[in-house]
Amino acid sequence: MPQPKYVQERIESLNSIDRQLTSSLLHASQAVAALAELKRGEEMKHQFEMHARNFYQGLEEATVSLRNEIKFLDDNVGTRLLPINVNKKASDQDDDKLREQLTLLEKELS
Amino acid sequence: MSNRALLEQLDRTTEMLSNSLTQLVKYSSILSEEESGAAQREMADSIASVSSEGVAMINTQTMQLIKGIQDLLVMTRSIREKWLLSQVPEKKESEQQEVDYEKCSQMLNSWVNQIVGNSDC
Repeated sequence: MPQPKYVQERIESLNSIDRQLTSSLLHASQAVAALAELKRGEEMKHQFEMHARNFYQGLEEATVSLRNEIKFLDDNVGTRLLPINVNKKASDQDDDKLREQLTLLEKELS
Repeated sequence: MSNRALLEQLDRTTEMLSNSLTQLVKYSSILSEEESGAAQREMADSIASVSSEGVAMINTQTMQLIKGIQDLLVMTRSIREKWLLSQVPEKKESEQQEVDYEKCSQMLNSWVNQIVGNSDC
């Protein structure tokens, strides 16, 4: 089912946050790996610094965007979204079924 | 209200994540210092206890790091679910519905006529 443009944008933005989070976890693991190499006396200091910086940068970007997303969610309750505690019934399905049956009837009549 | 809880959770998780890498680095350096000091002293028991403690702490911090990222991923997922599952339906559909009802009664009438006509024959 196609979503409205605004919702599509939000979902795209949430997807990019997911990507940022996973890449920052990857950087953290690379930083720890570089740290382990550092202890063996190899020249991995530069790499460790780079990965640690990337981790913090990714984490910062992801959390700032996530905070914005929570704000967007807050702004749209009542206009585009139902209040959070309300349990929505799948009322749209009735209309979909009705339209499906009507097209069938139309075919039968023609 | 629920969004405030989300913001608080985000704050807590971010703080924990930024601390856990620092702690990881800290514990690993303590471990190496203690290991080298202990090696000089040649005390097998203390090496074992210090290194095992260090390994346990590193393990805990690594788990925290992964858990924190997982929590944030769960948060993005729940926001996505809110967007998809609790949308207010747009007004276009209700307009379409009224047209449907009129057409529906017409079609049903003609269908009933057709069937009644057929059964009479």
